[in-house]
Amino acid sequence: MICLECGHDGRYGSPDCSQCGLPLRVAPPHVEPNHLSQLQVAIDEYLEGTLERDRLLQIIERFEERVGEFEQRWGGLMETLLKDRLAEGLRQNYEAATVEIDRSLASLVDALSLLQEFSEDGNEEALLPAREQLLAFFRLACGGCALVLHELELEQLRQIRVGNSADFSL
Amino acid sequence: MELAGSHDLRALVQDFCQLTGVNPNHTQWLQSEAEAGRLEDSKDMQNLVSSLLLRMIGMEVSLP
Repeated sequence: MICLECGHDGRYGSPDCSQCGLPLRVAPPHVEPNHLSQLQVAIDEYLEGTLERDRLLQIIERFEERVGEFEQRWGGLMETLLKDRLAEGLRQNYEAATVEIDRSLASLVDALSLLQEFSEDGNEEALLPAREQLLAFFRLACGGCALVLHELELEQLRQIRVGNSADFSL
Repeated sequence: MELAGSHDLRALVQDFCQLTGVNPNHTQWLQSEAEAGRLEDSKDMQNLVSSLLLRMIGMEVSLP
């Protein structure tokens, strides 16, 4: 996980950044610090008047860099839906999960557009809806990825079962 | 990138973890999600989390 304040790539579970020493922001509903929690709390602090605009812009920029890295590997966020990239043999088990992840990316696109309204046009009213879209992105992304992992585990179990059957038949 | 096999799906989840900054240890992650009530609006998610939590409880009970 990256500290969005300084860009240091630190370890999970630490309450503070080991490079800049600042706390890795976390607040409900987040349980542990992550990129979304850092961004959301920074938005809250800015709106409360305890975080300067330049620091919030820096944090937004660092989060956008993470999105850019993701896009380098997977293409533009809404360029091609993930569900349409599934091989035919994977559709039955993974379509529901990828639909959930595609929904998450749609929320992320909306959030980035709203954050751009703030960073480029100074529209502070875009920040609260951006925060909501970021949370929607996080919920849907976690849900979709959890479904993918669940299906992958089931697939492993099916393979083990096939292996056991073969052994019994001997 | 196409999703041609399980390795691509694992790579996708891994990249989402990097994007969101979430710990890729998915069991802890789901437990945290369940505790925070973030997955309560999805029936599938409720079933999934319940199943994982029951499995974790089962593991604890089986410890000597």
